[in-house]
Amino acid sequence: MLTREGYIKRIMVLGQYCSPQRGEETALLVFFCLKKVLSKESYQNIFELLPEPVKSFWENASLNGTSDDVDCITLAKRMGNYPYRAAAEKAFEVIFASIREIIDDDKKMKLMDFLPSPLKVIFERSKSCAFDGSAGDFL
Amino acid sequence: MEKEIVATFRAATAKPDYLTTEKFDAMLGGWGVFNLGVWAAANVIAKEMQKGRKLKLEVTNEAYTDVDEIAKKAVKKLMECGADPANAALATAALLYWAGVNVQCGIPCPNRKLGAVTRMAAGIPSGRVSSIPTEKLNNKVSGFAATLAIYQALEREHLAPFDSKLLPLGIGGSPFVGHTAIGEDHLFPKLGQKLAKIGTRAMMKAYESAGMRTCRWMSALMGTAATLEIIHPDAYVGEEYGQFLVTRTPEVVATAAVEEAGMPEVVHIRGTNEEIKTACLVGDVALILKDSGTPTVVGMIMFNEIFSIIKEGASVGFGRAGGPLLLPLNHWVSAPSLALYLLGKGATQDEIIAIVQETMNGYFQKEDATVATNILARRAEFIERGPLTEAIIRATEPGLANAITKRAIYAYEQMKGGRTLTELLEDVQKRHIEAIAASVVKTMSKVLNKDIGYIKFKDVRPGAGRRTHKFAQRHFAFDAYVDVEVKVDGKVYEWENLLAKVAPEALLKGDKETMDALAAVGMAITELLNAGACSMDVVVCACMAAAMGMDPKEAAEKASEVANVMISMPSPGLKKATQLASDIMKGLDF
Repeated sequence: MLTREGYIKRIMVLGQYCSPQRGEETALLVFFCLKKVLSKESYQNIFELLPEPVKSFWENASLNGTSDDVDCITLAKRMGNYPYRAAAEKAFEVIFASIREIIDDDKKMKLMDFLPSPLKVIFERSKSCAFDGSAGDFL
Repeated sequence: MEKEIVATFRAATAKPDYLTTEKFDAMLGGWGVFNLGVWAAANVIAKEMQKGRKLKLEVTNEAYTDVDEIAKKAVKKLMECGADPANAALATAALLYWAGVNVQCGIPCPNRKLGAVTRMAAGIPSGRVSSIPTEKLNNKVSGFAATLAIYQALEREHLAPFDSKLLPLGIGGSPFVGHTAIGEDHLFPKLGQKLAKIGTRAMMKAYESAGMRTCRWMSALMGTAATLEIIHPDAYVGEEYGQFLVTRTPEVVATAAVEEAGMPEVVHIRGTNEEIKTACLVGDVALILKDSGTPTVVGMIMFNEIFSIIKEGASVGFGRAGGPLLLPLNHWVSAPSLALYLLGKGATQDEIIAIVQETMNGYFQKEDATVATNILARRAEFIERGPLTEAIIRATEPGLANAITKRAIYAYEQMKGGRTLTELLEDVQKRHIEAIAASVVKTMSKVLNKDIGYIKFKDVRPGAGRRTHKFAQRHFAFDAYVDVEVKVDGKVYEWENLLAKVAPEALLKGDKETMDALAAVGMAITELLNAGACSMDVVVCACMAAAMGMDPKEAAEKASEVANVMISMPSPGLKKATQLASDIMKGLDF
């Protein structure tokens, strides 16, 4: 059973973050932005696919500030104070990779279906974010 | 707009060379410096990235990868710009690292390492850490200090965590040790961390003993690299040291080196504040250094300046030209290195421009830094055009246009009002010195965590009396006279002839109080001594004088004579610029 601490530690590794705090902030930011842009139905469907401890992060993700941006990445860039848009995309890639590692292939496919198109691309890309250059061919 | 202002603006900016006292063509070969080559090579790499080339070392079954080919192109460009092959290899590896290339990937075949890839691209033999010099910080030492200390320790005591004589035939040197708990959980990390501490400590001692401030970054780097010459340089390690497929021996070894050197655990990228784990950085770069041949001191200066995109900068040892000081331009590669990093991360051109502009705030003299960066980018475009110089020019052109125009308007109004060139430049130089003092007060109060009330320069001129040669009497950089008053934490210090008398006496006597107080003003004096990297204040005034009818040669000579602090050395471009201003004026018919 993956613990909350273990999950954060894995996010740190995937994102090459320097502290657990940064890992936790990233998870909360990404889930907050997803909640803002997903329909109520998609939100619920994804929630049901997630294992613990991701579920509790998903539920508790809330941030101060307004959120009237048109797309998820723009929102994340602003809320996360990222210096450039690709850094915000990277946050999604890291969190998606962390989820991909702990759900089965069937759930991965379902989860991707509920995401908006731009995030589908990031979700697909995130499968290669977890390993160093020596492992790609073997995994 | 008055013709004189148009003529002055155009003449001062007609060639990048006119806004500096430095000699750009000399940066292109012969004596070893190659910073324009770094700008050009960064463009080469950026263009390959935009073609969609794969910037990753992987264990693919092919003789050569995209990284090999890009490395060859970058090395070739650097060598065309005067870089020694070993320096070209090392600079290429550093640039590729910031572009996003991983430093190694490895199973027995293939086992690719970035430092070796670029070294082979340059066609040179491998080197040893003992032969790698540090960058020059007045003096320099070399990795020999780390290597010597490590081997002396190996001779003096037994450092492995077990009795090596117990290793039977067929086990020692095999995967039985190397790919199992014996090697990964015990031998490599435990021995590596011991050696790294010894090597790092020896480097720090060598720096101090040779009269330098310790460079923590270079000490940790050499300590780690020397260790990686001994232990398995890219083994996976036990889970207690880091996660599988992520953490290898370089980071584990570097963790000890970073601690020994007293480096911060986390460092940041200039302009973005992105965090990087210091041990990861040191481990990666040590692995590059270990494999990349034998660079020269100049090569190590460039290598170090490529790492000046780390915000902590010179306080930890990551280059010196990223700010806050305005160093001689042959050091400057921060902007292209940062732009390359951002491009590798996926930033757009507009985002790169905004971030490069943000980094200009990190200099004591923001306008001068903006102009200096602009003229380097423009000069680099003569060698290799590309997306990075384009972005950097876009980032700095508004600042340059604003800075030159403001000065041209001021000079015009002052001279129109009856001031002579001498009077104008005396006023401009005084304001220039005061502006530096104010900027240093603000920054150093934060850096030193002291209340620096003020810095007042009472007299700043050439001719401190150490030398009698008339050349030294004319040019500030060769025998600088400085009287200064500074207030630190409520106490006022007054120093006369600081550089020739007060500072050497205090240092040689071990007067810590005076030396500590000097820290508050030292940066401002260094900034004055470095003057000339950007000479726009002088050039604009001299061009305006020429545009308003003064003989161009006389305007240049008078400007050099009066502004003897702002252009601390003779300026070959100044006469050309004043002549051009005069020529342009004759051609304007509106």
